[in-house]
Amino acid sequence: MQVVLANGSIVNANATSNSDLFRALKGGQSNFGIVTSFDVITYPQNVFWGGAIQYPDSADAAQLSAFTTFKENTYDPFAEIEQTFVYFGEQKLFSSTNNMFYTKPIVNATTLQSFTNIQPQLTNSMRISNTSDFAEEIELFQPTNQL
Amino acid sequence: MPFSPGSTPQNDIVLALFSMYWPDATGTTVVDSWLKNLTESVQQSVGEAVKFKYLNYAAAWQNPIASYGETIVAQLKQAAEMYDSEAFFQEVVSGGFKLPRE
Repeated sequence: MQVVLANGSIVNANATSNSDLFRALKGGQSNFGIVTSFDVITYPQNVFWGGAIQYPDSADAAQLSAFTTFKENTYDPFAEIEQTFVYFGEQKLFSSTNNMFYTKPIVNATTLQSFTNIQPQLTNSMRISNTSDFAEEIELFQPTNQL
Repeated sequence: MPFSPGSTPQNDIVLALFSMYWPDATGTTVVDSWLKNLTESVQQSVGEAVKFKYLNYAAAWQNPIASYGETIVAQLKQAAEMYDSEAFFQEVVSGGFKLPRE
C-alpha cells in the first residue's frame, strides 16, 4: 500500500516496509493515513459452479437444518454460502435465498447438497459460469430505490 | 494472525447481518432502535463466545474496532501514535470507526 500520513509524507506499507502500519490498516480503518494505491496478487479463476436458489418460507426449518449440517461437515475451502431470510413488507411475504458458490467447475458439489436438495424451490440459477456473470446476478439482488 | 492451513476456526462462527431497507426516512428512528434491540438479544444469546464484530457490516453505534480485543487495540494505538502522533485522523477527520478511547 502507498499511504499519505498526517504530516504529508508518502510511505509504503507492506510486509517488509512499515509492516506495523500495514497490519494496522488491515482492519484499523481510517485512523492512520490515506491509502492512495495498493498492489494485490491475483490468480487465474476458471469457470466455476454457483448461483442462487430461492425458497418459500415453508422451507425455513429445512434451511436452518441444512446450515447446521454445512457447518458441522468437514471444512471445504471451495464452498461458499450466504443464506438470507427475507421479509418484503409491501407484499407481507417471507422467503429465503441461498447464494452459493463452489470455486471449481463441479455441478452440485457434495458440500452444498444439503441446500440444493431442499424443496420446493421458487427459482434456481445454479450453473457453471464465470465471475463477471455471477457478479451481475448478485447485483440483481440488491435493492433499488423503487418503492 | 493468519489461520494455519489445518485450522478451521470458521466451523464455529456464523456471521449475522441484519439488512433493512425502508422508503421513508421518518421511519429511521423506529427501525434503528428495533435493530439495536435485535442485535443486543443475539449478542446475549451467544454470550462472550464471539465478541468479534465485522467492521464492514457494523452499524455506526457498534464500535467494531474495540471488538478485536485489548491486545490488538493496544497495537493499533501504538501504530497510530507512531504514524499519526497528533491523532489527526482520529480527532480531526470525521467519519469511519475511530480507535476506542479509554
